[in-house]
Amino acid sequence: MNNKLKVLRAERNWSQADLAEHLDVSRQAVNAIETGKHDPSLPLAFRIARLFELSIEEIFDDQH
Amino acid sequence: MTSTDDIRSEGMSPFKRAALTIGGFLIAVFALGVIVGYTKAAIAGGTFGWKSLLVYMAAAALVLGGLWMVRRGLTKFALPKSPRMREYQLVVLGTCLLGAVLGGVMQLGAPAGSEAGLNIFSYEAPISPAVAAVMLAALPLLAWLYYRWHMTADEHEQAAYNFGAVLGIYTYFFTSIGWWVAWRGGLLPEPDGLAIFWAVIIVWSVGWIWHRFR
Repeated sequence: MNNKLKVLRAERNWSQADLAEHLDVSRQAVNAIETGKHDPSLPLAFRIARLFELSIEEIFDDQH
Repeated sequence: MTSTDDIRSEGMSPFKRAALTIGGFLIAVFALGVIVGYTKAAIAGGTFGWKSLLVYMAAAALVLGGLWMVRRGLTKFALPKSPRMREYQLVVLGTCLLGAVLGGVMQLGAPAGSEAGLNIFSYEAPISPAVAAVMLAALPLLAWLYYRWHMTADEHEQAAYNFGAVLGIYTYFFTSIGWWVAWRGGLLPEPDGLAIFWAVIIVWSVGWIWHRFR
């Protein structure tokens, strides 16, 4: 699943480790989500959306 | 961003940090052992000379290099701020430490000159009742550590673990059935339960690690 996580993270000048701290997951989890190797669960997707103050659809795209 | 953040941002995994720290410690200890052993031999043989200086310089360089690795590993050893990930890493490190202690207990409890402590792949190598008691007493602690691991691992880690587990259960299924049938057909010796156990553990671990770091 495509997502804008890397862009959103870069806009805030956060490292993967910084984002991982905010989401309470490991850095590897953030990397796996950014590269599309792991689709987050619904609870984690909501946490991500709340963190960036966006809707889930604005961050994740399942059309491609 | 502070320097501490910069250090954490490099994202060195707990395994790399542990390898750096433990590896540096072992190198430093080894080099110190070289210095002590060489000095003893040189005193006994009266062979101090210019070669001794080279040996000491090389050993000192190894000691310093090892200590540098330890310092670097410990500097990188910054636990995550989030409580869940912090506990997760502590549980992983605690499990590694318990494994190292139990391995040491097995080796110390082995008869002099034997390889019982290292021979964990064999179910025939004897261990003393005291060592067996220590190992059994550690099982509840290990179970608690595993329980906390499952409670604190994030969903990506759990997905990787489950992927390895599925590979492991199929390895068990096909290996045990195949070996049993082959044994009954006279093609192979009697199935070895411990060999199948280790095959499952290895396949499970490889699948888990691959899925986590791919």
